[in-house]
Formats: sequence, structure tokens, C-alpha cells
Amino acid sequence: MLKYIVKRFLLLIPVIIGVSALVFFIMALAPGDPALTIIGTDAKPEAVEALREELGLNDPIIVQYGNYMWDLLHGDLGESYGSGKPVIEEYFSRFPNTFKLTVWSMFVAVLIAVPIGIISAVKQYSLIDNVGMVAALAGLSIPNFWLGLLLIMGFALHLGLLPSGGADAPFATVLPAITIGTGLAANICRMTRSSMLETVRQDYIRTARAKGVNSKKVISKHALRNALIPIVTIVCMDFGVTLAGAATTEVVFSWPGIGRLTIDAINSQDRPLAIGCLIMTAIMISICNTIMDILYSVVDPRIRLSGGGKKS
Amino acid sequence: MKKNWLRMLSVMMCFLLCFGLMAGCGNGGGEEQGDGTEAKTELVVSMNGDVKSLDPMKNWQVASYHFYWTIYERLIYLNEETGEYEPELATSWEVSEDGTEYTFHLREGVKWHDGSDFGANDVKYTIERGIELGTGNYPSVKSVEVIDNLTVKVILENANSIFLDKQWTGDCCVIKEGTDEELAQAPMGTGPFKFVEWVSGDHITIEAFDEYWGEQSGTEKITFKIMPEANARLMALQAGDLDAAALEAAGISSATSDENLTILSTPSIRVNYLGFNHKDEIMGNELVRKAISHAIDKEAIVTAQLEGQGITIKSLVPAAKVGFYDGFEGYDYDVEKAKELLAEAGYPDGFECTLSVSAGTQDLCAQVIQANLKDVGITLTINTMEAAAFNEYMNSGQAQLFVSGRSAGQADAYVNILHSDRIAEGNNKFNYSDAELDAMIEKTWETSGEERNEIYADIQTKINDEALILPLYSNTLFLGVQKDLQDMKCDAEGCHDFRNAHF
Repeated sequence: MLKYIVKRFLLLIPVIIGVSALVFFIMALAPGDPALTIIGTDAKPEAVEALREELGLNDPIIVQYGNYMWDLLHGDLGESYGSGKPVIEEYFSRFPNTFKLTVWSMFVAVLIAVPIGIISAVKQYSLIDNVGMVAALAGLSIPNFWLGLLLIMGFALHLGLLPSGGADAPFATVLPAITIGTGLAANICRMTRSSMLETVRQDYIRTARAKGVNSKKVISKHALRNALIPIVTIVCMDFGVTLAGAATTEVVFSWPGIGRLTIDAINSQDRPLAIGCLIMTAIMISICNTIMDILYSVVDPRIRLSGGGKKS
Repeated sequence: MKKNWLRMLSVMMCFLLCFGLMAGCGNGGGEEQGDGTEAKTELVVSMNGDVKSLDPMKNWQVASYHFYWTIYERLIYLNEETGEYEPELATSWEVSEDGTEYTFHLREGVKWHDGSDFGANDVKYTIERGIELGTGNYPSVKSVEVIDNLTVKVILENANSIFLDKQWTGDCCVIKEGTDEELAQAPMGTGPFKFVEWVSGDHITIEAFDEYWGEQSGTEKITFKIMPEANARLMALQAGDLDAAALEAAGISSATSDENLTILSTPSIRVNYLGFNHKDEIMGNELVRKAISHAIDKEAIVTAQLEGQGITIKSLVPAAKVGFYDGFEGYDYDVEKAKELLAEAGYPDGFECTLSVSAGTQDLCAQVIQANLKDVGITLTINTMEAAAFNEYMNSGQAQLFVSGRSAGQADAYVNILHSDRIAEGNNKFNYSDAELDAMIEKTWETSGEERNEIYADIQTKINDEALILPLYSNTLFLGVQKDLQDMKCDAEGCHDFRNAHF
């Protein structure tokens, strides 16, 4: 397993090179002058030129990229044009907030989705199945910014139960976690249902029932365990994507997370910060995928991890 | 079988109940804090956007002025009621007869937030650092001399009355000698509040400075919450989570109907205008510019773009600024007159042209202009561009027609964008070059008082008479505050002055 994990982390190197090259060249070729954005449109041309020189923006793009990669090789993601702080410091100042929100969002999502998905599958075409699937469709369709504002209106403004935003107040995580969680729940719910539907029709389930094993045990021990692989896949993938930041929800709830940091960096043409955030996001998603692969072997002992890949 | 499902459902209900209880607990803690006596001396207010740096010489976002004014002080300030400059860190000042020397006498007994004494060396350092960083707040300064610990003389290369005007602007803060890089993270000034912490993307906290030389409001702590979403700010204000928040036109009806809130409003100093490219064959024609000016219904723009929460304007200088003048007729919305002028210009059947606009800022305004111009036979294509791309395109002087805006410190900064020297810099986006107007603008730098205001009036009249730029509208700025919050001010720059605010 250790060999496998090491191999997965080595695979990160081409991922980082690919992501950094893509983002670097897209940002470098996008219209707009970062120096002008930083110093303001009223600045004297000499001041803009001096800043361009200081930031190395007058070098050919390929030289700029080379310099960036050389620094990256030394573990230096550079400094934010805006704040002057190291990018890594900026990223990790926001990361705990995003991690906390992601964990709680996934908790909400799994708590809602898995039971409903199981019930929907076991009681296919029943009222609860239909209601559950319509709710899942609604969860997927409702935009987060709208749901977020509705939740603030209901729970913060009218009921006064929860804070309207920020990350400091007690229970400030509840509303944004519900906002993100319900959207994620929809997908997980549908995946649980279809995976369970497939499993409960298997011969061994019929055999278990015929043997007289009680229904609860058949569902929880025989069916659910075997239906878990696709559910683990989608939960881990959603976890990774949410770790990249949920910009819309973060804006609505004034949540200081990675999503807002990345979007602000792109809008203000803060190249080192934008590239740094996206590289870190790629790393986080890779870590989540590695954890996902490890979980496969936990869920299904037939799956063995080795340096050569998955063997079943 | 049925029993098992009932059991499962009850487990789920328990989870939901726990969640609800957690929510209830949150509420209790929050209320206790809100009702305590301590909360009365603490303000929680919003800032619309995140700040990049806390160094006043490196960051000019208006959002940052809210706390610059509480932490830092300037040499002088403008009394908006009298229009006169009044002492802040300088108790008095003299100008030499030829207008090239300004001597400032500084206030005694002023302390920096680290406990050290404020003096003339700090002012000298501030001005020299400002010039080095190219802030533009110290125009024409040749040198700064320290006469004694409380007297400083600023020598200009040539008479330039703009120098004094600049000294009260939002970012013209006096900093301590020797402070530099650290100001970006931990600002230090002489103001009534001192910096406590900045949590990036979340909040900035300041607290009362006990050794402040002047009177204090009694407010002990202010937390600036960074809240970019306007609806979220409004709801947080209505829920009592905020004591003051900048509001947008769309939320005003909801805010005014809330009896717990007071809404302060002021017309913004941001002037939104239609810019013409004077090098363009069609737009270089004065009659065409006048025709377009008559064809546009500014009231319709205010209704569409600002939901009616703004004013139409005739002059390029806003009414809140010294030097404002609008004693000319302007251009009424008159379709027939516009058609006549177009025919006279040689375009009886109109023409095709392109209007560039920054995405998400003036889209509705551009659509009204498009509809208005269609009525007089002009086919307008709207070219919507991302903000950075739009700025670059506009500064390159290629845009035929464009909608843009300007907010600046003084009248000079509004009119000098038409100076021919600024074409190369990209600030004269109109490609307008006229020796007469250049001379008029330069004359304002050498004069002051009424004499200068008369020149400003002439410049604004000329801009109108030759339809050099068409000023369109200014929006209204709204600040919602809790009813019992006193002495809160919101100025036309959008800066919220919390120095005297208290419950």
C-alpha cells in the first residue's frame, strides 16, 4: 500500500506541471495589465513601468514561466501581488475554514442522501421514493446563492436562530453547510439509489432472504456494503471539489474560504495567488482521490492496492 | 419489517432534532452577547470587499478608507459644511506669496499608537515615501525641510494649489518615520483607534487608543466584517448582526420599511459619462456629439440602471466638490433636435457605431443608449468586455464610444483627463487635444480660491458647449445603520466615518 501511495504522490508532479502551465499561460495571455490593476488606472506611466519591471512582467512569457517553475521547484509559490504575503500563507490562512465547511457539508449531504437513497431503492416506486427523487432533483436544480439567501432570511432574519454570515460566530457553519450539503446530497442520493437497486436484485440477496435473514440485516450488511463503492467514489470526489472552494456560497455567507480567494485573485489579476490556489486545489483533489482508492480496499477487501494499480 | 423502518426513521429524526438543538444553542449565545452592556461600546460594521493591503500608500480602495480614517490622521481636513480646511495634525499653515512654500505648524502632544511622540520628521518621511511610491498625493513637491520638531516646510517646484487640496483626501495619511513594509499587515497611526487584527477575507478589528489627543466617542472596539454580497449585508443588518452596512439601490425599499434602521444617503462623487473618441471620423464631429447628447434620455438610464436611486447630471465635476459649476443649459432629451443636428452634420439617415462597456457595470445604461440612438437612426452595437480588458482597450484610445465613470479627490482630477499630455498616459481616453483647454487646466494649478473656481466654471462650460464628454448620472450612496447608533457619517466618496459613531 505504501508503494501505491508513493506512486500516487509522484503522479502529482506531472499534474502540477500541467495545471501550472495551463493556468499560467491562460492568465498571461488574458487581456489586461496586472501592473495597471494593482497601481490604478490613474497612475503615471513611469510608475506602471517600474512596477512591471519589478514584477518581471516585461520578460518574455516563457522566461516568466521558467522563473515561476524554478521557484516552484524550491517550494516557493511566490507572493501575492495584492497583499505581498506569501501565497502559501494566504492559502493556508483560508484553508481551515474551507476544510471545516467541506466536512460539515459532506456530513449534511451523507446524512440526508444515504438513508433516502436506501429507502428509495428498497421501496422503489413508493411514495417515499418519488418524493425523495423529486427532492433530489430540486436539490440539484436550486442555485446555492438563492438557497443561501432563503436560509439567511428564514433562520437569521425571521427566526433569529443562526448567524447570517462570517466564520467566527458559534454555529456559523450550519447554514452554509446546509446550502452546499443539499446540493451535494442530490447526487449522492441518486447514486445510492441506483447502486442499491442493482445490488438488491442480485442472487445472493435473494438467497439471504430465502435463508430467512431478517430484512434489516440483508439491507445493511449484504446489500449496502456491496453498493458502497460508487457511493464512496462520489462522496470522495465531491469532497475534493468542495475543498476547491464554493465561491457562490462563500460570497453569500461572507465565508472566508478558498473559493473567494481564488475568484478575487483571478479578477484582480493576482497571478501568483491565482496559480498557487489552483495548484493547491489540484493537490487536494489528488489527495482525495488517493484516499478514495484506499477506502475502496477497506470497503471491499477483494480490492488490493499495489504499485502497479488496482488488482481485484 | 415495518418496525425496522420506523426505527430507522426515528434515528433520523433524532439527528435532525440534535441539529435543531445545536441551532438553538447558537442563538442563545449570540443574544447574550448582544444584550450585554459591553456590546453597547462595540460596533460591528461591514466592508463591501476584501482589502489587499492596509498600507494607505499602496492601497486606494475606497473600502479601506473606513478604517484609514479611524487609525490614521491627515494634516488637515475639509469641513464639508463650510467648505473650509480645518486643522487635524497641523494646527495652522502658511503659504508663501509665490505659492511655492507651505509651512505647517504641527499639533503638540500627539502620540503614535506605539506610545512614541509625533513630530516634523514623521511628516517629512510621509511625504518623501509618498513621492517615492508615486501616490500622486504630493504634486510638484521639490523638497521637505524640518524647521523644528513641530514645524515643517514643503517646497514646491512651482505654485500648485492642488498640493493643499490633496492633503485631506482619504489616503493622504501621515505615517510614522521608519515604518514601511509592516504597514501592509499592521498599520499604525495617531488616530482615535488602533489596529488589533486582520483576518484575511473575514474581518479587521480596531480598538480605542487611550492616549489619543482629541475627544473620543466612547466606542471601544469596531469590527469591520468583509461582506461582498449586498443582499447578505442587508439581511445581516436587519437581523442585528451588523450595526452599519452599505446598501444598494435594490434593497432600499426593504430597508426603509424597517423601523429599527436609519438610512443615510448622499449623491456619490462618481460621475458616469459617455465618452467620445475625438480622433474618430464620426465622433470628432461636434454636431454628431451634440445630436447624440440630445438623443439620450438620462432619466431612463437612472431608472433602468439604478432603479431610480440616482441623479442625472450636466457637469463633469460632481456637486459635492469645490469647483462644481452647472450654470449652462446642458442637453435635454429632444429626439427632433437630435435628428436635425444629425442631418446638419451630414448624417440624415444616421450611421453605425460601437459602444464599449465593462461587463456587469453599465450594461443597462448601454442598452438604454442603444434604444435611444435607434430612435434617431443611429445603429449602435454594444461591445461588452471584461473589466481589465475594457480598461486596456479604453486606455489605448481605440474605443469609438464608451461608458465609464470617474470618482476622484478634487475638481482638477475630473477635468484634467482632457489634457493633451494625458493622451500618451492612457488617461485621456478621448484622444482630445486642444491647446486652449490645456492652458485653462494648467492655469487652475497656479491659482486658488474664487479665481480658480471661475476657471473651473469656464472649463465645464466649454466641455458642455462643445459636447466633449456627455455626463450622464451619479448614483446615490446608501448607508443603513441601527436606529440608536449616533453620529455616523457617510460621505460622497462612499467612505463611512466611524470616528465619532457610538450607541
